[in-house]
Amino acid sequence: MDDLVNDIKEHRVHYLILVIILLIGLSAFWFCRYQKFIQVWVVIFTSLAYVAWGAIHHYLDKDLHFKLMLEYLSTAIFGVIIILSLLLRV
Amino acid sequence: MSFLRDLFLPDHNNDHRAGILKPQALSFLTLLFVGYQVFLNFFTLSGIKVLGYASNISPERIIELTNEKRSAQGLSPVKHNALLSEAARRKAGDMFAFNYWAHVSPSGRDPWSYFKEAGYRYVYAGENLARDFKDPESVVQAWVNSPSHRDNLLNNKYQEIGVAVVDGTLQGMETTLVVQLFGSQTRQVANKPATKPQPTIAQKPAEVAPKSVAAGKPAVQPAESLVVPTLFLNRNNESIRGYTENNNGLIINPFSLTKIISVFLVGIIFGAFLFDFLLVSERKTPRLSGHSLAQMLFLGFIIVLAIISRQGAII
Repeated sequence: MDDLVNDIKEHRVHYLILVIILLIGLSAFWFCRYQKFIQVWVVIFTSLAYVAWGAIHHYLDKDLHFKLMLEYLSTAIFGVIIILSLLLRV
Repeated sequence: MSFLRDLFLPDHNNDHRAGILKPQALSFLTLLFVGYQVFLNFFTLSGIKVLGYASNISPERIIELTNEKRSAQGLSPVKHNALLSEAARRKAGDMFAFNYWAHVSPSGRDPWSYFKEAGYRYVYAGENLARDFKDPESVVQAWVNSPSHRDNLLNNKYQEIGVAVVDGTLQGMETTLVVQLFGSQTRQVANKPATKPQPTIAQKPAEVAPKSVAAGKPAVQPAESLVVPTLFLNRNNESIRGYTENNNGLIINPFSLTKIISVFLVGIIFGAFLFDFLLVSERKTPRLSGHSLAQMLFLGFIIVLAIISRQGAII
């Protein structure tokens, strides 16, 4: 648990930015709840922002690696597919 | 057992990263999920009616809500017209009979032919369609939030409304269709003085192109429609009611099923990240990997989106 606290303390600005990105995505998704095509773009852009956040975060931490980016990318694609399957299903 | 351990527990066998969290496993899960979607589509299109849908939408409530929205904008309320409701029912019946979800049927039959068929002679006409909503509030709100549908709903030129809520099987899925038709009849426009100076409206002959048309579509000249046999699947014979009760007792539909599976699947991955994070923190294992906390935040975001996603489509 100490590691978690230390990690958050050390990268509090980074995590704050990520939380803001996700909250903006969430708000936009809710605000456009009756416009599915806009919601699709909200999910895609938020996921791209998440991957970009991962790249910048690890670049600043000087441990940016292709393997890490694959992790972020695969998680983002997984999430996008899940939500698109719901939005595009009638 | 060792397979499950590799899948969920980070140790030296899996480079201290739970197998299910590796890009290969996540990609595999993504493909599996896409496969499930394809299977579900095939399943529903194959004619096997095992999935159902139930809603509680009444035409009266749709009209009431429509008039509330119009009143809020300072517009006069639209009156229910039985002929328009009949035209709406015919349109819904045609969509079920010929298995399409569009303003114009595959054979090219446009919405205005139903007005004529029902005996409604219009000067202005419009159509909004919705499907698979659970309640009337969501239907009307969805229309209001869509500019082209809102243009229909809040159009001052319309004086009458007809709504049909019909349930049936569309594209393999038990569906609740809501057809909302607006119109102004020739004599009404001619007899009623316009609130705004629009002399051309009153003087137009009966058969003119509708000024506001099917939402999202360009104006269509109401030419003589093709003769298409119309089958009616409407289970409600009363003039203006149409609760969509499912008599077969089925309560699960593809959307709900997908939602449950989505939340469950993302929840498992979220849990695996949490477990992985706690174990690695406890053991202080040095490794090169993404931040589990960030991954958990993103997956939490996905879970919330999945939960708040709503069913229903409008055109």
